[in-house]
Amino acid sequence: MEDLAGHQQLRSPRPDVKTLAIALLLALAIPACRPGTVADSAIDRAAVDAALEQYRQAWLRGDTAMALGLISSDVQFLFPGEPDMRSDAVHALFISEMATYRIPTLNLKRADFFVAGDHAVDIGTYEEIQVPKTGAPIHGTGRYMTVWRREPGGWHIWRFMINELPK
Amino acid sequence: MSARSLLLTTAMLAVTSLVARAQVPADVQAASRARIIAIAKADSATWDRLTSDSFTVFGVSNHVLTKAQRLALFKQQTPFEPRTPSYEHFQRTGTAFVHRYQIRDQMIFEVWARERGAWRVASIQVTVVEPDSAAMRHAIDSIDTRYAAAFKRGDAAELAAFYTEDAVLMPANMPAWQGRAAISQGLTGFLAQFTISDARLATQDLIITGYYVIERGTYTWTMHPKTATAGTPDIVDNGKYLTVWERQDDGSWKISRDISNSDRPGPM
Repeated sequence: MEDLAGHQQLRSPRPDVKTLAIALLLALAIPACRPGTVADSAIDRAAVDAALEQYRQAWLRGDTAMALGLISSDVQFLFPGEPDMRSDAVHALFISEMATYRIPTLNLKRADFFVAGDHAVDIGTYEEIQVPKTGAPIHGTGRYMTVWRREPGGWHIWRFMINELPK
Repeated sequence: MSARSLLLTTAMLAVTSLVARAQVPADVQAASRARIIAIAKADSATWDRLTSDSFTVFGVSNHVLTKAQRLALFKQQTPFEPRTPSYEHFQRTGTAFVHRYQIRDQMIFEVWARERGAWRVASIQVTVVEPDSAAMRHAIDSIDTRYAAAFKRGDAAELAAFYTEDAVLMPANMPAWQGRAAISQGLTGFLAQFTISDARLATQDLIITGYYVIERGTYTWTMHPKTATAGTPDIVDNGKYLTVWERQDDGSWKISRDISNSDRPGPM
């Protein structure tokens, strides 16, 4: 069990700059990481974090094209109260939501993250404020699990599920 | 093949195997074992001693790490219990030995060579062994069926056993249940309130990544409050889930992360 297995034991939620630089230079892929006892690869985590922040900023700025550019072509959103939402429905949703609402607040609090081959699992809670053109702002909170997928051009959202937190 | 030639072939294979084993010096085998333990224990000094200065490791995507870079990463490593290699095989190639073995989902090829009077690893290639997708689908379907059956029986202990020790179950409208004990407690509480007359799970797709499987599925269940008065209708719900399965040391699969929501409007 050489070095990748050894890497699986790295605990590096916030790797130091030097290690991150090495990891970025080498782009060493780690095939699978055990949640709880094993940290993800620094390179993959950094790349997913960057993509996630881009995605968050896209929603805050109302940049539909940027947000759509960060989802996979066969994305599925799994929202409460409705069946699976496939790619065309997700595209329509993004366009409609951004035309209808301004989003001044979108905060994500990560609880868990690990890389599994060409996929990364990101779990946490979110808080969002949607301000319609008329009417009162809508304050939403919930729990999310996002499955990111490594694709040509970077990490993209492949599955996104939310469910309700207790009131 | 005749019985005679089969016997001859078997005898020859046995002799070849004995010769191959005999040709592997004990010090190569000992060094190999010591190095595996050194990695597990984060013992960089032993690892350094058993690793060539020109060492390179080729990762799953053919990314390369040198000895110095690997040593730098060693500093962050948390020790873990050494795992026993399987499918282990040594092969002499000239003055060097190729050591091939598998640990968990990783197949490792090491090249051992003499350097400064000792055996050292010169190069390593790591590849991921992906489980057969049809077998994997069958395994997950089978567990899902047993899971649904346990749900209908109201067997919280059996249900909890499907989860890893550090699993997280995130039911809608409830706090996350973290760890098998909390999952067991949560399920016990839930099943004390409801009788489940029907429960079905259907896998929609699986992503297999060696050590993990990510399942997207749909569920249907029918439940009845145990305290309901006569004539109270059943509660029927259907929805979807994302489940992360994690391969265990014994090759079995357990649920590591589990989230779901209902397709029906309003809290379920």
